[in-house]
Amino acid sequence: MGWTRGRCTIRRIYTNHLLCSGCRACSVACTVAHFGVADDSRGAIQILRDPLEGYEFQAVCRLCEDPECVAACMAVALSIEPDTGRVVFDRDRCVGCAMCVMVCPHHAVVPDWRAGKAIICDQCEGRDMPACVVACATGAVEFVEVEEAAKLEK
Amino acid sequence: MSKELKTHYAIVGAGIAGITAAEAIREVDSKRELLLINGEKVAPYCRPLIIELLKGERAFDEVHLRGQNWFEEKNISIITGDPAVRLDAERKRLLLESGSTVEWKKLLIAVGSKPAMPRINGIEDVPAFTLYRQDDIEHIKPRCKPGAKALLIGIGLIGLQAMTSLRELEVDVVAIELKRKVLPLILDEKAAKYAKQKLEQNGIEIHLGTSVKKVWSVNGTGHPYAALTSGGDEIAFDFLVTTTGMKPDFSLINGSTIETNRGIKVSPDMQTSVSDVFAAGDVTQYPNWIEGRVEIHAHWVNAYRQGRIAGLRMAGKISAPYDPVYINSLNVFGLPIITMGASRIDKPKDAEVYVSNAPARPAYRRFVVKGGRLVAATFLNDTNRAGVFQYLMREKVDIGNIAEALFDQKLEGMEFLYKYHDEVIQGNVDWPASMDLIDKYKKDHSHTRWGKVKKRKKS
Repeated sequence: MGWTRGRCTIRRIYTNHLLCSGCRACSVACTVAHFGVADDSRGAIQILRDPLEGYEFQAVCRLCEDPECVAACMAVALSIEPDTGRVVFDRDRCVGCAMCVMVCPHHAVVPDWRAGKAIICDQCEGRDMPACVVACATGAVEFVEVEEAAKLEK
Repeated sequence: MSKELKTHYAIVGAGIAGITAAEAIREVDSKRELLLINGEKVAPYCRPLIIELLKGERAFDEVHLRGQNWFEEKNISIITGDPAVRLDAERKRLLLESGSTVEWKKLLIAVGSKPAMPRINGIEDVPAFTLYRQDDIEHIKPRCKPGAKALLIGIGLIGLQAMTSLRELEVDVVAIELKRKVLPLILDEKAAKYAKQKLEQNGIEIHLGTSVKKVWSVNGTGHPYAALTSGGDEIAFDFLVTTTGMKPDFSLINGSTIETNRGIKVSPDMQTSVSDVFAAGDVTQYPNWIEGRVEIHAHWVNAYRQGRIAGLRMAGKISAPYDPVYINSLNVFGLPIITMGASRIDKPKDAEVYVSNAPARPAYRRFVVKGGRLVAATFLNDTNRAGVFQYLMREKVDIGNIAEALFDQKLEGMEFLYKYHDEVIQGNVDWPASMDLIDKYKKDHSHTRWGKVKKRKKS
């Protein structure tokens, strides 16, 4: 199911679990780009692991058509940017209530309890390509248009 | 100065339900005039964040809902500080406090709720405040001096927020709750015990299972007022904050033909019993599918969703109905707690209860499965993957066969669910097939590793 917001095409990070080796370079690259530290637990992209079968699953913002997190944000820190269709996060407004963490079915919002803020993918605003996509050695993380991602997911 | 105004869409109440409805209307219809009536003297703001104003960490313009430009951009007129006082649904008119009248074609009532005041002897003679509107903060704030003592009645969600802020301002807090546990509407006994422990560690004096009988002023030095509880304790205090819950604000619709019970009765597309009159947010009542009764879902997400459905419907677009789930996320002095559904019920009937408890941390998770569906979940100090459980609950996914795997953290059942992500989360649910996979999965891996979750069956 592809969709557009207004007239723009929206791009999002698409992950292919078949190519993921679970190295967590994407999470590390994310925190280096955003916080200047290598701390994969605070990455906006998270690798979840099934210890028995070694299966890796990537959790990152999928830009839902009707985002639960935007509905739940009682500080109005999350909103949909009209021009690009991205879910934008205003860190200053965030009060750390974790409502977004609680409603995201994709496990894509990470709570940063120490700072009392949420962590959500901003697609590396100001960079040509999101840091996680650049860091991925196997090509498991791609930056594609939403419609294409929906096709790939099928 | 009274005016006679005419508008196509009128929205009474500028909380999240009203603002979302206005936004939804403008998505469909950008032309016809839209009037938002805000009864408060300040611009629309995020009500749950007023507590941040008490702490003084944020200025008012950091908690507003939408900036001034937004209203101009969207071509929305707004009346501020002039509440609607009477509704004439037959003649399609509203009377405002200033004497102005508003003639409308379609009306949304999103007036929210007002605090329920407990009946206490002598409460008129002591400084007693509610904690709901922005002006309440202005009244309480000057009294929050270090060393002052606040008496807090009702340990609910607002009470908890109040305690946190008051402690940060170095105010002593004595809290009284009628029920025998803290946060009685959302926590089960065990979780409440951990929460109470945390509150007491942070210097809050808690009295449970008691109420305040009377209050009076005392002469002499020390705290100027005193209260007598039903338990016979005498508590001295400087000011009183009541946070004993909310009830829908019916002052606007009193005398009209709009049907109400506990809240305004609405259809799934937010229409009231009177045509062209809609209602959304905390003022409405809505069925609670988990507990099988009608109740008021005074909740941000509910107000947002209802506001959106109502707005789209008013502009002529029908959207999917919304089944609310009562979800809450709170922070008890650094102890994160998330609850969902009927989490307050200690001994659910005909249900399986899954508990994992680590008292040392403390970390506590509790899940209740009834008829194959997740009906309650509590996450204390371990909120991992809460969103996925919320999704399973709200979408009423049948998890009967995989419940054990899901709740076992050692096995990381969630990843297992993700593995069948396309089938489950993406909506192409093909349960019989995935069930086979689950059985295979169970068989393949040693059963001894499943011992972590304690399973208790209730008859």
